[in-house]
Amino acid sequence: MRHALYRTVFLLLAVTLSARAQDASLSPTRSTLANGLTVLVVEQRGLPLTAVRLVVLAGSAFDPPGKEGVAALTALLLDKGAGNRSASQVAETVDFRGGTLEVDHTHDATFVTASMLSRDTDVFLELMADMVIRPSLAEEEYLRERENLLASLARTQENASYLTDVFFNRFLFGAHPYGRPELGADSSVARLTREDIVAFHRSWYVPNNAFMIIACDVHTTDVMRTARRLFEGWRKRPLPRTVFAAPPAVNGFSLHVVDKPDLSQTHVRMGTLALPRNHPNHIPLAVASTILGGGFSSRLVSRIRVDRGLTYDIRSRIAPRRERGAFVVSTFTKTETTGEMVEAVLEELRQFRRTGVTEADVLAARQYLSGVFPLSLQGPRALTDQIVDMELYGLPADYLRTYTDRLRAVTVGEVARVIRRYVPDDEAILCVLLGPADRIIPQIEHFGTVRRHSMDVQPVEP
Amino acid sequence: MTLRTFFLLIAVYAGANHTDAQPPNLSLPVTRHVLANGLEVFTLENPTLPIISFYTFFRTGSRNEPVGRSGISHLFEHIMFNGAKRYGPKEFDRQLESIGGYSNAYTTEDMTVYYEDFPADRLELVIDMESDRMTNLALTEESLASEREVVKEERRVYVDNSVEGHIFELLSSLAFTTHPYRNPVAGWMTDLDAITVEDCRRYYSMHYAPNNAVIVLVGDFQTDVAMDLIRRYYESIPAQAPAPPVRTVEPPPYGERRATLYKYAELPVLLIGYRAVAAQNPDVFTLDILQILLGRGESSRLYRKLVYDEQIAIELSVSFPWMLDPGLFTFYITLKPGERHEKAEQLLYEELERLKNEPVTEQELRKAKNILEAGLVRDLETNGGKADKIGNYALLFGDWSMLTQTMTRYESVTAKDVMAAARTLFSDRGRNIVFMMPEEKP
Repeated sequence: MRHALYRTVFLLLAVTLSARAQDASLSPTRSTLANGLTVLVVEQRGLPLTAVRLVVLAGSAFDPPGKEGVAALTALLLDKGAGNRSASQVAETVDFRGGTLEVDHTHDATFVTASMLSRDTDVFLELMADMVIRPSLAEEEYLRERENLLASLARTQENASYLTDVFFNRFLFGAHPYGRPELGADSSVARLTREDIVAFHRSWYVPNNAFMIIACDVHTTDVMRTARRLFEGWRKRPLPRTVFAAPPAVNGFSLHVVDKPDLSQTHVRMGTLALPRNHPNHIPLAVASTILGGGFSSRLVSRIRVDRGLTYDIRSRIAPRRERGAFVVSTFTKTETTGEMVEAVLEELRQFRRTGVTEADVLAARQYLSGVFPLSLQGPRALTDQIVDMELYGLPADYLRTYTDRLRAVTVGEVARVIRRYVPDDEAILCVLLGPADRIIPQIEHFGTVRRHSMDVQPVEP
Repeated sequence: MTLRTFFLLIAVYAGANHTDAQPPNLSLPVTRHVLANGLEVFTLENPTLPIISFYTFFRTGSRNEPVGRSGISHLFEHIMFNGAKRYGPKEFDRQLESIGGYSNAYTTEDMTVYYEDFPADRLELVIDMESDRMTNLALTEESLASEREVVKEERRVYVDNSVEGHIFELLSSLAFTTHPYRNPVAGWMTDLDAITVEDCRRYYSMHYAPNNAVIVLVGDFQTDVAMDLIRRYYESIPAQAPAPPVRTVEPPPYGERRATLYKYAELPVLLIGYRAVAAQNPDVFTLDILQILLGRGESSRLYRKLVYDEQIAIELSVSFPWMLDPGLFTFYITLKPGERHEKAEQLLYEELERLKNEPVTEQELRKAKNILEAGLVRDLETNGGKADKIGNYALLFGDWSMLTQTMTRYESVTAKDVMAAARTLFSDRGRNIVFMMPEEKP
């Protein structure tokens, strides 16, 4: 329903887990082909649907310097001709069967995602094998997609929330590749050549750098036989060595304003570096984040949205990454109340660090996290998402099955400890504000030195 | 009280290359119950996971708002979370989240919908809280004042500062001169400022009544146990006089309407809406096929033409939401930088003319049906998806069991039907065009 307006945009539930869900779904059958490709299959009986996700562990963090956008453009080209099929034939194959096929990427990885009726499983697996092993990467398609990527980049300038994330990452991660925009930049994309795409594909699209998840109501041995037949010819190759620069430490109150004068709101990100997704502190920090800003009854929502009406949406989250991700509070408010909002968030963070949490807070957050987990297992598509996270972030094989137990074991003391370690306050915090700088800066100058930037992020003297 | 059980049999038809395959059947045993106060309840047991989705639909949306009170339905949807009698301010979320539940709500032109997903053993708590706010809502100046600011922020982010939100709002006010579909669900800013507690009280007593509501439960419960609880908590809520019907009928269009929107943006957008039919019109199934043929997937006619071959657009979407009164069939086309609307319009109209004059091939028709049928199966993937569908059908058709006929209806659409529907729908006189022209930065 196009015009539906929601009470809020908390539609994506926290990725959280519970043992009350079916055990079978939580223990996929794992096989590794001779070429190193890991395949995980999980049977889910019910609807005649299959979901497949094939993940290549190379996203935009692997763009060579000066060639930002290569991972994005490679992803865009995968379904634009592959094997014996032209771009149109790929589209026709998918559409005729009423299936869906998408390719997207993050800093860490590229994802080929498909859903289909069960009886079409083999057709889609065959198509996905062609896409990752034998993409055409034809010159004509390359030119078309590069144009489209440039237009999409232009359009990101209209998306204030997305832009604020881009700037926050840039200032937080510095020279670390997580600091680059995932889609690349105009200047780098315009310079790319088809050879860059071919080289990126040759280096990173190898079976020993990939895994595949299949959730279906088909028998595991049948679907494994097909996967083996289609993917065992994919040639294994040694991977290039990569070493990422360390992100800079956040010191003091680092305050940045990015000028976007046409907005009537200010978008706000306040946070700092935290931990990789597979760090043992992740679970206690997830409990802490739930109490601070994880749901409608969280402190940030209750005090800043409900009591003061300052925003429609405010939340805290731990950005999931293979390397260190951010702990960040995200919100927006009308321009006139920017200073009030920054002070309100700071005050909640200070208080959170100062007074900590109670036994009841921790119990409620643990209950919430374990309760919403089965919701994220409904249907094959949701199930593959959970297993992808497990595999992508290097979580233990029994992670899904044991998560509730791990959650139940989280104590008030542990939560207090991770709050002191990861939740920022004025001493060390990055604050990025995007909106009309001339009206924002007078409201926040008293917090400290303000660095003002134009949209192309060249520092500009205030 | 009436109690009838339907068995929903959904046959998933395969493509033409699968004619030998047996269509799988999905059996969804839905039971309908009606309480003495008029509350309609649908139950569907699904023991797969120990969770329940509980949906409450009210037959009220922006279509039912009086002049000068636009946005009150959506504002009200927010206020419903701010406390009633047995569960005071903030208690709804606190109670629900602390048992591992999740809740949200949405408002459209036609309805307001509240839903909860939660562990199956906490059904009584949810029924207690939902029935409490159906009849005992606390309406205070403080609650209204704070929530008014929240929905104004929501309007700023999704309409005022959004290309898509702004242009759709303009299209509705252009296409409808008379019918309340001309007003945005988010409400006009000045109306949001003007709504009083008294307005809210009047709105609540008029629309929030058991005889104006439908409840749908899907998940891990036993129907007789769930119905005992529902009767215990809801039966004492009195029925109310029915809300006044929406009598205004939009007059037939007398000619093409155009508007230009200047906005600080990067890419031009062309939005075209044709006056279509209401959900209860049997042509909706043919219009769905048209929508798919034209705009779903990279093999669709308009994607091929505008994005792939002519390369003047980066993406497009075609939508036809089913609505209580006749709504719009729309084309939203994001153009490349510097492209103008004339060329895009010309290419679009050529494709529409082709549909009016040449029958679609069997292969293409088959594809559209496969897409719609597989999409329906996907919509039913979760408990919430099933509950949402059942409730929407109950409100839009007055009979949820239309859901059981949807696949058959799609199957029966012929190439001739598609051609006839295109001729009726795509008339120059019923066309409304908005072009968003990016403006230089201030």
